[in-house]
Amino acid sequence: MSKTVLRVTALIIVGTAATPWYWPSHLNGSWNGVPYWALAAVGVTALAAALLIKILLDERP
Amino acid sequence: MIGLPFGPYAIGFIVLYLCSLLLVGWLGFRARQSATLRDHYLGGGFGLIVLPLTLYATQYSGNSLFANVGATVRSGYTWLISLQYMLAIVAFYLCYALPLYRRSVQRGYVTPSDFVADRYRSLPLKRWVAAVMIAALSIYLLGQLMAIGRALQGLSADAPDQAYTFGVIGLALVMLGYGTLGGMRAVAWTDVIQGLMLALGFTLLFVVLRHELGAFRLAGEQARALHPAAFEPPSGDTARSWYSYILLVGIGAALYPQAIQRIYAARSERVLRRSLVVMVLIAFPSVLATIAAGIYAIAWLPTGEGAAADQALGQLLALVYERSWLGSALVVVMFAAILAAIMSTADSALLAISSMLTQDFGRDCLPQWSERSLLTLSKCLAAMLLAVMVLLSLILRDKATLISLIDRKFDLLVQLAPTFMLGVHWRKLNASAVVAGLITGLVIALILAFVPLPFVENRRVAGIHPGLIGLAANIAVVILMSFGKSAGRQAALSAK
Repeated sequence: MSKTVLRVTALIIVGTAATPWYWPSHLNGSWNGVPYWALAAVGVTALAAALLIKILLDERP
Repeated sequence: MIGLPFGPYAIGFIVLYLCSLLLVGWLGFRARQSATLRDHYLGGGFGLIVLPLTLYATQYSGNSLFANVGATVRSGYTWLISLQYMLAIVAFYLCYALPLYRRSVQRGYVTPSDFVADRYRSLPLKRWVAAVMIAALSIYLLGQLMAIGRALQGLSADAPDQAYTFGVIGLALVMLGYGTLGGMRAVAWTDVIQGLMLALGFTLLFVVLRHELGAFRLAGEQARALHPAAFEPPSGDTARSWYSYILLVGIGAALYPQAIQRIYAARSERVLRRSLVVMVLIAFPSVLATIAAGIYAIAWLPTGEGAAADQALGQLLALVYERSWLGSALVVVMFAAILAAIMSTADSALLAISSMLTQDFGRDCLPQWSERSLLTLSKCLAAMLLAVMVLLSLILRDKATLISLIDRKFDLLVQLAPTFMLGVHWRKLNASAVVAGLITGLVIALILAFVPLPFVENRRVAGIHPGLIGLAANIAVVILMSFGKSAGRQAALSAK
């Protein structure tokens, strides 16, 4: 996969994490006081972080 | 006395910390290799300890602490967006930082505008870029000075106004001391102390709050009962606004002049890449700690709005400070971390502004002046600028929230995206197209931000920030003019 595709994917994931429109409205519980949707947003953001790190550590020109 | 709750040991610790910054400034002055602008504004090549810490300390400002906690008080968990925009900044660095670094090594750039002058061979464009950056950074510097005042104001119950004034003037003098002494070398070295202090502070913030105010689960339940809207996922309208925020901050913060100068100052490309990896990793604990503090503030403090919410962190620390000796000891460290966050950002902004005033305007206007004279001029300019900003921050004390200050700064900076992010990749991009795009973008962004228009609500159009609408027009003009000029040139060649 090209670096540009990876960068765009990382940005889309970041945006998706910020706007959890995908979260089902009836699942509105919480874990340790943190709403499930917020935990999901942090999890998705971690995925974007992993992609960015992969791009940065890939030193091929 | 200004009525701060700190005892002699606490004040001693903070004075020691501030003195260590002046000492590092003096060491930076001793370590200078030559009395040139390049040495003063870029220092030596920074390695894997100094570069990530200086990037971290510079990028995470007083706004990151105070405004993030305040915004969580206002918006609840939806302010997790601050985590996403910190990652977006790194994603946008990836669009241009590595090619820019390679170019800077070959050409010896000092300021961001040096790249512009070299790439586009256009003095007007160089001046436009420098002027936009100076305007945006001046707003930023003002925001940092106000954050210093608020840090002390929130802690002082007896005399908050005097604490604000004392904080702004006193810490501005310390910054001016080490910044003018040792330049970028001193600022980056102090950033190492400040970055470590900041990382410690973010970690301690959660530990202290949990220790003194009870488990996070209980605070969450209490906050939910008091302010249930803070726990709702963002609505469709908010989501649109958040997309806009991520793009605005991601692009704008990646184009901070002080960050560009740190790209130039990297020892190698490998160091630069690894420093950005650190930025990605460190975003999680740093941002999540401030979100947690915001939830504790909702549970424990009377909910404030606007500028009052930005004082939530200071009030929370004052509350913890009174409860036990452990709490008070940890709050003192946390307070030093807050000062570190604010000062490391403000000193970098001040240095970047004085470098651009001297290198991009002074050098051209005073060609007969030696490097040493220009260096003296740059230090005088830094002192005068700081004096003006201190005065403004005292006048504007309760006039604007920190977030609204951030909004305007990024509206300006994002207009430079085509100049740098397209400029390092696209050879057909020409100076006249970039100038036209930049002016178009600026005019649109400023009109939408400041002129009362019927379709502008809350200084946004359908939730989209004025800066991004200006940027869309800017990019359209840049692309059309560059293709148009290229097509015209080809037609002229064919005719010959």
